[in-house]
Amino acid sequence: MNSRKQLAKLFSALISLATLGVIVVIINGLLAGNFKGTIALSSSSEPTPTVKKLSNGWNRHVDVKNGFAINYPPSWTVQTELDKGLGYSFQSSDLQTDQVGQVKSGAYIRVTIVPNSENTSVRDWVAENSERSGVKRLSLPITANFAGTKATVFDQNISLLGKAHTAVISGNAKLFRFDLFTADSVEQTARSNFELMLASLQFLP
Amino acid sequence: MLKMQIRPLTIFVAVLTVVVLNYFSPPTVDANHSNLKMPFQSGPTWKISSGYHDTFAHEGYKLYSLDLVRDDHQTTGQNVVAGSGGTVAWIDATYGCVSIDLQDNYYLMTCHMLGAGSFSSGQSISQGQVLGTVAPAGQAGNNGTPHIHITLYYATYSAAPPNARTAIPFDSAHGSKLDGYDFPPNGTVNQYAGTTGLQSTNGGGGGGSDNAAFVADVTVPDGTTFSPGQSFTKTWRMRNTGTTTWGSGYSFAFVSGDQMNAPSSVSVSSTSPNNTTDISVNMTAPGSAGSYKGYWRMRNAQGNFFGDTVWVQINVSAPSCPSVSDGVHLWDSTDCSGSSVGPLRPGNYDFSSSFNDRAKSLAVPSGWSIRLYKDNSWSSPNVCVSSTTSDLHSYNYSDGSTAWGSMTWAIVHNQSNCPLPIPTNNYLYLPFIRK
Repeated sequence: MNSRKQLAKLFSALISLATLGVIVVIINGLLAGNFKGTIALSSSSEPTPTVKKLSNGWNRHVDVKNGFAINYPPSWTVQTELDKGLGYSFQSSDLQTDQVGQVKSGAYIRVTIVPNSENTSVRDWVAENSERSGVKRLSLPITANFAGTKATVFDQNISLLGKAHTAVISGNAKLFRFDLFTADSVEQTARSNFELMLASLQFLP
Repeated sequence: MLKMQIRPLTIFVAVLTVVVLNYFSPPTVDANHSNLKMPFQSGPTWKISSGYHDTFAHEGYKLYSLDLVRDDHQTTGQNVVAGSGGTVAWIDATYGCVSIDLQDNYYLMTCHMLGAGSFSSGQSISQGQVLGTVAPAGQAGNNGTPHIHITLYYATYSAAPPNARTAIPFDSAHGSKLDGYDFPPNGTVNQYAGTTGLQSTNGGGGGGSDNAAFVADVTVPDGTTFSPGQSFTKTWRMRNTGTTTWGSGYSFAFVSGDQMNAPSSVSVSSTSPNNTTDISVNMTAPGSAGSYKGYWRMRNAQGNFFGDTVWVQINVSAPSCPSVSDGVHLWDSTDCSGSSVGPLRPGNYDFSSSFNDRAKSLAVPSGWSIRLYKDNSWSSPNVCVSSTTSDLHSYNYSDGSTAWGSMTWAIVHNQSNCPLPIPTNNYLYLPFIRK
């Protein structure tokens, strides 16, 4: 009698486990329907970027692992694209792109983080990478000061993505590249937000 | 107590296992994306001009893209063929892209070709089918060096970038080698750029049986100058360097650039291997001054282009109306050519008996003007011309009709903009015509 009770309990536990497993698979499958293929923000051993709401409505994105913090506008969101050769993508809520990748409405700012252990200068890096097949520079690079150091800023046309307003800045043994892609209708506002974001850039110790 | 500790732990491990396996397991491999071929036809070898993770150009969902050019630099105009069968997911004519849905959540995107706009979503595509031809520099998104761009991406739904797609390398680990070539990524920038000698098994050339080589420009060498609208016949001499005999089904076809009112293709006379043939195409010089270039190529009965891409390059001269100071001059052809009258000094002119409805271009001294009247009446439709014009098609009368070849009376002013009032005297000069 006692062993039958134990057997029943074991059977009940197995049923519960199987049911729970099915539920988890279904939920995970639904999530995967939207996000499968993107990669998690970081592995569990790495600090996860945090977001802090600021008093003016903007958000502060803090990435301790890569050693930088930056503000982004209210109602914008941040996507991590470390798996795609990028770092982050800050996107306006009305962002829409066509199939190739051209912005049709709204704007987004890609942040690409490039290791720079050899301490290549920003100027040299830009010269090497910004005028080649698939990339056409539209303006001469100018120098601006952000986060207490010099950034190189220029416009370019990137094959299949369209016109980008780009700033490259060096910090924490990395090169940080910011590319603004915007619909023509909101370009002025987007460029203003771009400058405000860069003005808030801070390299963390 | 022991039971209470084991059960949650068991459940946690089971759940974690399910989640991890489900999340990180690669998408299902099937026959489509595991049978990818090159986007060019068999024959001459190609190389990778821009590889994985090329800064700016190959990032995001295009991280593992490859740009391909021919080793011999004869890339423009080459056929671009489908690297896989499937259905057209979407096209982008601006960038010359066709994205093929491989029916397994994988998509093969091929870009920078002319002809992409002829496809539509849902259309079936077979592997090796010609999608178009490589666009010349400056067209279909080909910045600088003309090339073919290919991207393999994975998406569980058809949303647009920048976030909805995942780049997939062309490698064995993902079951997606490219025509037998294994290109695993190692994280370096512009990986595989410069790789040469790539060969295709993707149909087309049929072992190089169809081939053609340019021999000479028989007529209209590069840079020949024509007047606007002038007709001419361009003749190329081509050699059959393949193993097939040209004839029925073969044609010489326009590929890209300036077509110059030529037919889209002309037939080719029977030409056996290693022999030459002269191929002529009738063309018309464009109506505006400038330099014009059109690309042409041999095409077989299956519609596949082959052999050298050749071109016709001409200059169209600017209209040559003279600068005048002694009075207004009229001509009975455009570009101030043909028979003329003038100089016409200020006054009223009647052309009804000598130059009626013949004026098609005119030269006006600086600061002068001429009002053209459609009929022999000051109340007929009229228009003022204050500067030299090589083609009176650019002027319309007040009733909307063109002034070109339609003028009977005129008033010449030694002031600009045909000042009012219209002279009341009806004394009309009869102009003298110069042949």
